[in-house]
Amino acid sequence: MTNLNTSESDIAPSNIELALKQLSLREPSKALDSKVAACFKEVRVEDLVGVPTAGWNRRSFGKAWKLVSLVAAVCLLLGVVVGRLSVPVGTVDHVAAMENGSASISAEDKPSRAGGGFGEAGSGQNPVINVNDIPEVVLREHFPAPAVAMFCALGTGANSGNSYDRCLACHQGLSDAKAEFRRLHSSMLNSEVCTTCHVSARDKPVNVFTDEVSIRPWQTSDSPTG
Amino acid sequence: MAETYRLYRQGLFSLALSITGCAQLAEDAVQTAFECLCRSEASPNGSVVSYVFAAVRNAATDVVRSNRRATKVRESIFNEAAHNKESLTTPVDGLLVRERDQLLRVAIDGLDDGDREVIVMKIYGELTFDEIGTVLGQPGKTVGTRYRRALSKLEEKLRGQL
Repeated sequence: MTNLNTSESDIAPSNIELALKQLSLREPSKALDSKVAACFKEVRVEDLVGVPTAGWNRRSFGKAWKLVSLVAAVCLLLGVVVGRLSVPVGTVDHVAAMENGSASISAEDKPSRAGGGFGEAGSGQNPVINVNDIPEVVLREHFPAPAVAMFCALGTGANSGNSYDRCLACHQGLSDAKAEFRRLHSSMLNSEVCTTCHVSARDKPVNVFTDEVSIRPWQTSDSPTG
Repeated sequence: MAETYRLYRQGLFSLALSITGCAQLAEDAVQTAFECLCRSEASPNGSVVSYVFAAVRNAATDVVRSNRRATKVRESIFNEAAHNKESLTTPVDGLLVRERDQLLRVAIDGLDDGDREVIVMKIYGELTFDEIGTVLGQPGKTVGTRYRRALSKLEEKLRGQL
């Protein structure tokens, strides 16, 4: 029996080894040689182009970057549109818009109108009028009522704060004062009706801030609104 | 790498064939192994020959796992149709050699997979025990012992027949 502990160089080839070496082996086909050679050619080409893994990363990174950029651009546009459409009232942007005349309702007018103001009484729309921008001749032509009625009807003034409060400064004698005054004036948006109570002549200019305005005594049942 | 294939193509193919038992699968394994080697950025730490043989062995093992049902009949690593005609002097010698080769083929194919791999790598791949040990992940001395034990098995099988 062969000594199993001998080293590789110590032993001479046995008969069986010699016999095995004489056996003819099945050889690989030429197709395999071609395929393996093609592997080496592919490596050379890829070496010139770059490492395959790096190329894959570059392509995937490019796609991801395009997607992220597209989403960011869409979000940016949406943010601009939504922000433009929803500027809260009272912010700096809104005040700037008021100064440019693009909006007509001031923050101070909002509470009075909500409590039964002109916009709520019948018209259903907010007046877009800046009295200071309308010539007096035009005002008189289109609004034949006395200036005080006109101003009351418009609910605006050159330096008006709360127009109701300013009117109440003159109409101190009314019994129900503020509430009734608001109710009537809210329903009397027609300037012709104003002359029912306001006796100032149409052709007599009235300074609502300085002139005394006489008011016809009226009863609740005689009021234009019934 | 290309030079390694050129020098050891027969041993690599024989190793793959001894594992897969199918010439076509063996060629696929060799091709797959070299494709992986060419695409791999890792370089062998030791012998390139051992590295390539290990790659082919792993590829052949993977092929066997994925084609277990397909390899029902094992093909021999030997070319049964060929004969070493140079050594044949008389028709009687031819018959004896043919009979001897047939016995050897049967004996080799009858070995277990591990012993057959060692025989193939040693005799037909012409690797050293240390290189075979690197392929198998075993010490060179252990491989030498396995090799000689495999030869002993063959001698016992063929005793009285050769």
